[in-house]
Amino acid sequence: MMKARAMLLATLLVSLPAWPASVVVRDAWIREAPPGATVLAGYMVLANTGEQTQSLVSARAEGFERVELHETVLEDGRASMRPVTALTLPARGEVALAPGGRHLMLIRPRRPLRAGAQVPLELRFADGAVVRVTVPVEAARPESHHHH
Amino acid sequence: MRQKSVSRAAIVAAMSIMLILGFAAQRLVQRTSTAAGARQAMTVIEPAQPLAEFALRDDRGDVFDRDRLRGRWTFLFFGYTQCPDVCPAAMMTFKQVRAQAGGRERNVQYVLVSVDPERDSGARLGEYVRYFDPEFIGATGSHAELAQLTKPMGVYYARSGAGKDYQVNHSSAIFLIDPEVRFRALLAQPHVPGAIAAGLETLRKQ
Repeated sequence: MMKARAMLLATLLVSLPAWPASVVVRDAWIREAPPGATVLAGYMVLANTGEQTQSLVSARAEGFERVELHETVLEDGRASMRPVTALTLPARGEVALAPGGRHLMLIRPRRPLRAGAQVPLELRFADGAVVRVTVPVEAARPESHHHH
Repeated sequence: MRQKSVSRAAIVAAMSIMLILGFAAQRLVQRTSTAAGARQAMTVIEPAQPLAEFALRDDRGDVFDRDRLRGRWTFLFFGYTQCPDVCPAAMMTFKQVRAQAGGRERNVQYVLVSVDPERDSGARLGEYVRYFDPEFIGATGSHAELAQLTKPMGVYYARSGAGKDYQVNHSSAIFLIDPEVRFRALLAQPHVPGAIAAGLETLRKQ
């Protein structure tokens, strides 16, 4: 009995840090901001490996006042930004946050961040799940990767 | 009498069509591409449209007007420094175009015109553009001063959102001005730096 409980506890301890296993973040980066900028953009691919739809509802980044989700809309020769209230990740689907599209807006860094810095980021989903990642600040990635 | 008014209506209609066609003919959408075949939409303004008088200030506080455009090719982008996504990408495009098309040594200049003069002081603009390239120029002015440059070329911008972290929606294209201070071409998104450089070479030869 004790052994079974210990095993159960061990199983819980092992599985807890992995929860939720269903959203995986990859290729995350934050665009290094030129001097004076008070807003930085964050990009990544969010992969939902589960069978349930996931919805990203908020994010927090260490060293920033707040984080918002926005979408750049390029339409009729105009660039505009629209706030995105929730980002839906279809079951077994991926959503890319990429330059010229949806992106995280990291607002008011407490101190300037240069390329090479690492920013701990916390993503919260509608079902209460939390995903934590550390995102590198990079000068720029070749812009061509999102053009085809 | 009746016939006369009909023919007058026909003339008016024909003239309207000519006007419309004439206007359409002023904007020839061409394609320019890199040797590798990456394509970029380039709208050549035909005939090139002379810019009216305007006077802004550059990031060092000097007058930035028609005289600063004369005798060189100028790429203009209208944006602002608190723009985290589109404007840094446009500045990176400028940087890559400059690497291929050249800069001051070839009489080509790259200018970010801030459409957010309330937040973009000259000093802030200067720091911003020089982060991308020491040769890049920042310029701005009051909204009335900006309008002298933006209105004739059809550049759009409008403030969006409230509070100190408002955004500014703006034209996403790059505007190319020729050495005779005429609006010569419009380069729409998505931007392909190699193709923009190739487009400039084509126009230089004309």
